[in-house]
Amino acid sequence: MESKWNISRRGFLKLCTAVGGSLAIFGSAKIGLQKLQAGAAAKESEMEIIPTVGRNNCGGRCVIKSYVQDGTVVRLGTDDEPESLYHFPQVRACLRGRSYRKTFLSPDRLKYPMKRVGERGEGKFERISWEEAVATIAKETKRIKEQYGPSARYVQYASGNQGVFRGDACMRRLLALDGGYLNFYGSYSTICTSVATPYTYGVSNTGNSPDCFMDSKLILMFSFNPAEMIHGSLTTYHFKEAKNNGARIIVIDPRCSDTVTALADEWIAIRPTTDGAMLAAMAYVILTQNLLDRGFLDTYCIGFDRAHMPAGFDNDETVEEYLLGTYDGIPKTPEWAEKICGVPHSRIRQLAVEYATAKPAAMIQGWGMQRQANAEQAVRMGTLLPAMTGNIGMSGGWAAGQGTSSRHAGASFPLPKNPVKDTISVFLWTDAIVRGKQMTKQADHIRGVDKLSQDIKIIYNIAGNTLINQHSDCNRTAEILRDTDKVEFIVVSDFFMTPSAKFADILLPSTTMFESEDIVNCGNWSDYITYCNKSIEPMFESRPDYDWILDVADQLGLKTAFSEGHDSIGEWTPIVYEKLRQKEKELPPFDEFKKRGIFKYPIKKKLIAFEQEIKDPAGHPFKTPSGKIELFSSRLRDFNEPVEIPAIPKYVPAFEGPEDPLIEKYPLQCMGWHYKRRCHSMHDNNPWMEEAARQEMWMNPVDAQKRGIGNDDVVEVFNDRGKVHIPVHVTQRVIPGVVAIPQGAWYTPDKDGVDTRGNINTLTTQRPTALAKGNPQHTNLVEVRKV
Amino acid sequence: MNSPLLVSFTILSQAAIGIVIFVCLSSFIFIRDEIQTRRSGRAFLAAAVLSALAMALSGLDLGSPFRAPNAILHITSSWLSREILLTSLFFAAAAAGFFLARKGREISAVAVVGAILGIFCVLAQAAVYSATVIPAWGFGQGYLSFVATTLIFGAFFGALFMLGGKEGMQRPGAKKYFFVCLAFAVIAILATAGYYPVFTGMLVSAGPAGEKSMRLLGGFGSLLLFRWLCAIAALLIMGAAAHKQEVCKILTLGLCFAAVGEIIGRVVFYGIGAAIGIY
Amino acid sequence: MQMGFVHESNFCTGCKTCVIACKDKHESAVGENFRRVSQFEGGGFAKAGDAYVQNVYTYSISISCNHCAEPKCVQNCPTGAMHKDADTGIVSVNQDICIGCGYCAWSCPYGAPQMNKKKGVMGKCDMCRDLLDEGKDPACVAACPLHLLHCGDIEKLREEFQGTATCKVMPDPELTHPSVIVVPHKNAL
Repeated sequence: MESKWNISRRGFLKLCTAVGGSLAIFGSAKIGLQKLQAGAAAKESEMEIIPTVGRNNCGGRCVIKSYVQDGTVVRLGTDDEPESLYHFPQVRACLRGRSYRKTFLSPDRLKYPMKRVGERGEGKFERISWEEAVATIAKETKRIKEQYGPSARYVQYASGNQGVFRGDACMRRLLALDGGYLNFYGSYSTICTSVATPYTYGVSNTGNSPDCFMDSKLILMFSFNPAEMIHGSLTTYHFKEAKNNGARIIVIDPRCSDTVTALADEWIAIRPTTDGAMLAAMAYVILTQNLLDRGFLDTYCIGFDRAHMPAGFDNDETVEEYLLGTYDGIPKTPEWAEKICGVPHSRIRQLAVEYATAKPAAMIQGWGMQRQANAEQAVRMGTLLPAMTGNIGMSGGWAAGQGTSSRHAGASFPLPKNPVKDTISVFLWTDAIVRGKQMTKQADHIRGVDKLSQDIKIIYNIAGNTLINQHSDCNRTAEILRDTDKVEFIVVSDFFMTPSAKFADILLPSTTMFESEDIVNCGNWSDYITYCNKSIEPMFESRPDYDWILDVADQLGLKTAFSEGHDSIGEWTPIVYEKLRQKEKELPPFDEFKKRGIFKYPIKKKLIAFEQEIKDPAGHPFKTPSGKIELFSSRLRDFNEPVEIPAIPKYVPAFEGPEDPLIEKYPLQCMGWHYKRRCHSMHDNNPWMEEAARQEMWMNPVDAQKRGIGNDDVVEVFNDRGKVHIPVHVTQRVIPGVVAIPQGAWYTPDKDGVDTRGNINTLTTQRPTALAKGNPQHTNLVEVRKV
Repeated sequence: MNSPLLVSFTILSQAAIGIVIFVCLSSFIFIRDEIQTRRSGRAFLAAAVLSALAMALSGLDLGSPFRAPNAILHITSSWLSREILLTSLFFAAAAAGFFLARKGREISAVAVVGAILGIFCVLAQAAVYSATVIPAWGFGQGYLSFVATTLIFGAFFGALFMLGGKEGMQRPGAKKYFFVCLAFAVIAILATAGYYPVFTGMLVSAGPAGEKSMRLLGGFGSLLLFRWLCAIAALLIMGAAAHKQEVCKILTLGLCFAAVGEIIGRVVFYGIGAAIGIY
Repeated sequence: MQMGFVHESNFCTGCKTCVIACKDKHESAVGENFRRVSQFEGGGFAKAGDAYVQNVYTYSISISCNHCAEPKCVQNCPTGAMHKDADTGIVSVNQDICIGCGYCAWSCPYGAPQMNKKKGVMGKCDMCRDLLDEGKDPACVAACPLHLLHCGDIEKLREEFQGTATCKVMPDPELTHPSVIVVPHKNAL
C-alpha cells in the first residue's frame, strides 16, 4: 500500500513487538488460552480484519473491527470506511467499544456450565456438563408449566445483547411455542416516556431525523447527556455539526455533564425531579407574554384553553387555567418555579422568551427526567412547550416526549404469538414474584388481563444484570431471590460472575460478539444496519444462547418448531435479512452486507415527526382518541387519580424529591448517570475503564464541607434501604444538595450488607411511578457521612 | 518523584566524592608519610565501596538493570550519561588510590585526579536534575545541595579518617586540617540554609509545577525543621571535637547527625519534585 | 517534515476514546498511557434567593507526545534510545536499547514517556508509525468519535487550524517547541 504520509521506511524501528505469551495459567479449557494472548505482533496488513458490532445496550451500535491473527484478536479498530464514498459519518466506537477486547477476552470469563451448590446468591457453584445443564433447564421448564401454568415463567428484561438473535428473544420464542410466558411492557431505559408520550401524541416516536438539527436555531437539552451514555453512535457528532452551523445549545441538568463540556453554550443547573416545574414556568411566561402560537394550539391541540376542551369535560381544568393558577391559586410563575427547581427566576423567564422566539427551536427531553418518581408529568409538561410555540412537524423544531425516530425498518427474529396475555410493567417483576396473584389492572396497571394468574416461579436471565444489579433496591431484591420457595428456578447465561449470575441455579457461559455472529440493527437516530461476524472460536466451553436454547427446545419436543431447520444463528441471518430486504430495497445482497459488516442507507429525505399531521390535519389526524395533540387527555382522566395522574400536564412533587418531608432525615438528592466507562453494568470489571473513569460519587464542595468530606475520601451513602461505600469526587460539576453516583457498578455487599463497589441501586426504591409503573431510579433521598 | 534508591545513590556517591576531596586536601596539609598513606588508603577504600554501592543501587532503579552499560552511549548530549561515566571513573580513581596506598605508593596524584573527577561528577549529577522540567530541582538548588552534601560528608569522613583513632589529633597539621574540615562543613550548611528562602521564593513564582512543589513542601514542614536541627547539632558536635584528643567517637556522632540531616534533605529534594505539565 | 497532532479541544467531551484506542493498540498496562486526557473545571455556585447562580466551567485536553522540535527527552536520554526521526520528526524509543531509567519522563513537560513495568523500558507515542507507513491514521486519530484529533505535517496543519500550543493549562512551548495545535475550548482562553 502506498504510504499516505510518504514516509520512508529507513530507520523505522518496529516498536510494537509482540507481548510475550507469559500468561497466567488458569482453567483447564485450552481452547480459551490462546485467545487471551493479545498484543500487536504482525503488520496490520498481515492480519485478518473482521467486522463485528458493539451490540450492548447503549443507544448506539458501533462498528468494531477485530484484527485477528492466529485465532486471536490482537487489537480493535472501528469504522474506517471513507466518508466521502458514502456521505455518511463513520460509525465510530466510543471508549467502551474500544475496550471490548480487554473486557471480554479475559481470564475471568465463565468457562463451563455450573450448578448452584451453596445457598442461592452465595455464589458457590460446581462444574457440570452442557448435557446436564440443558436437561435440568428443560425439566424445570416443564415442571413449572405443569405445576403453576405457563404464566409463572418469566424471561427477564435483559439488554446485554442487542443482536437480532439475542438469548432472551430466543427463549421467548421457545416459551411461546411451549404454551407461553408472562409478558412485560416498557424498558428500564424509557418506560415512563414510552407510556406518557403517546397520551399527548398517540405515538412515542416523536423524533425527527438528526439532520434536522442543522435547521435549529436553539437546542435545549433537558436531562440529556448523549456524549456520555452514547444516545446514538452519531448523535453527539450531529450536535457538533449543528453547533458549527450556528445552533445555540443550552443544557439543563443537575450535573455539568460531558455533553455540557463539549456542546453547551450554557449549563443551567437544576434540582432532580423539578424539570416539570421549570417547564411549567416557561409555559407560564410564554403564555403571559403572549409569545404563544395560538394558531397552532387552536388547530392541532386540545385542552389548552376553555375553547378547545373536548366535549363532556367542560368542568375540567385547562392547561391555561393551571398555568395561571385559576383553581389552585398558584400562578406557575418563574418565582414559583425557582423555589422548587433552584434555577433563578430571571433565567427561567429569559429562557422561555429565547425558546419561544428562536423558531425553529428544539426542546429535547432526555430520558433522565423520565427515570424520576414524577416522570410521566415531566414528559407531559415537556410536550406542552413545542405545542405552545408550534415547533412540531418542522425541521429544526422538536416535539419533545420520547424523541425516537427511525427512517428504516430493522431485521427481527420471528416471535410467535404468546398464548399468555398476562403483562406486567418491566419494573414490577419483583412484585410479581412476591404478590403476583394479587396484582391487578387497577392497582398495578398490568395489561392483557385484569388480574395476574400466577406468581413468577422460574426466571430465565439471559445476557442481563437486571436480575439484581440494575433493578432497584438490591438488598430487597436479593432477599426475594434468595427464597427458593418463591422463584423456584433461575437460569442465568452470561460472560462473568456478575451479581446476577450469583443468583443462578444453573449458570451458563455465553459467547461475546467476538465469538458468535448476528445481525444488529442500528441504534437511535441512525440509518444503517450492521453484521456482527464471528472473529474467533468460542472461548472455553461457552456457547451462543441460541445453541443451548435449541437443545432445550429439542428436549421439549419443539426443535423443528423452534429452529425451522436452522441449527445456528449463522443459518438464520440470511433468512431474516432477506425478509428485511423485501421491505428495504436498497439493501445489498446478504454476502456483500456480511463482508462489509455495515450497510449505510443513503440519506435522501429528512424525517420529520408529525409532518403529515401538521401539513394536512384533516387527512392525517394524530393517533390519539381525539385525533389532536392531547394536552388534555381523556384517557388519563379515566384513571381517576387527579393528583398523581392529572389529565393535563402538571408539576407533581416527587416522592423522595426536594419537597418530600423525608428530606429532613435524608437531606441530599441522589441521582445516577450513565457513565462513559460502562454500558449499564458492562465493563465494570475492566481495569482500563476503572482507570479512565473510576467509580466515584460527585458531590458539591458546599455539601462536602458541611460534612467534613474531602476529595477522594471514602464515604458512606445511606438511606433506609441500604448503605454504599464509595470514594467522593468533590466537584463544582453538580448542583449543591445533590450527589450523583454513576449507575451500573457491580453490587458487592460485604458481610454487613454494605455495598462496597458503589451501586446506586443499593439506595433506589422499588416503589414505581404512578402511571407507567416505571423505575424512578434517579429519585432518592440519602445522607452521606465520612467512613 | 520520591525514590529511596536515588536518595541512596546520590547521598552515597556524594559521600564517597567528599571523602576523596578531603583526602586530596589532606595530602596538601599532612606530611606524606606512611601514616598518611595508610589513612588515605582506608579513605579510598571507603570511597570505592560507597561509590560501588551507590552505582549498584542506582542500577536497581533501572527498568532494565542488565542494560546499565548502555547508559553511557549518549555522552554527547546527556548529562545523565556524563554523570554515570564520571561516577564510574571516580570509582576507578578511588579503587586505584586504595591499591596504590596498599602497596605503599604515593597517592597524592591519584587523590587530585579523584577529587577533580569527583567534583565534575557532583556537578554532572546536579546538571542531571537541573536539565529536567522539574522547577524544584532548578534555580541552582540541585547544584548547591549536592555540593553541600559532598562537602559535609567529606568534612566528617575526612576528619574521621585523617584525625580519628590513636594519635590522630597529634599528627602535625591536625588542627589545621580539622579547622579546614569544620570550615567547609559550616560554610556548606550555612549556604544551604541561607539559600533555602531564596529558592522557595523563586519556586512560588515558578508556575503551577512550582506551586505544586510548594504544596508538597508544606507537607514536609516538621521533617524539614528536624533536618536543620540535625545539621546544627552536627556542626556543634564537630566544633566540640576541636579540643578533644580522641575524636573518633564524637565525630562519628556528628557524622550521624549530619547524615540524618542530609538524607532528610535529599528525601525532601525528591519529594517536592513536580514536573511541569498540563495543569 | 515535522509531523504533529491537532486537538480540537473546543468540542472535546473528554470521553477518552483516544486513550483506550491507544491502549488497545499498544497493549498498555493500567498506569501506562501514551495518550492522556485531562479534564479541568472551575467556577462555583452562589446562593441567590431560592436559587443558585453559578459560573461553573469545564474543558478537556487530549495530549500524547507532541513530537517536539526540540525534545528534551531526546537530549537527556542517556542511551540514545529516545530519538527523533529525521524524516518525520517523530520522537520514539528504541526499546532494544532503553534501560528504563525514566529520565525522559522527567524531561517532558507533557508527561509523554511512560514506563512499561513489564518490559522494564520506556514506551511512548510513536504516532503509530506502523499505521502511518500503511497509509492509515494513528489509532487515536482514527478513534475520536467527534473527529477532533488530526495528525500530519504540522506546518500544513497550522495553516488549516486556528489553534495554539499555549492555552490556559499548557506548559510554555518555548521549553520544547511542541508540534501540537490545540484549538482551545472557550473556557480555556
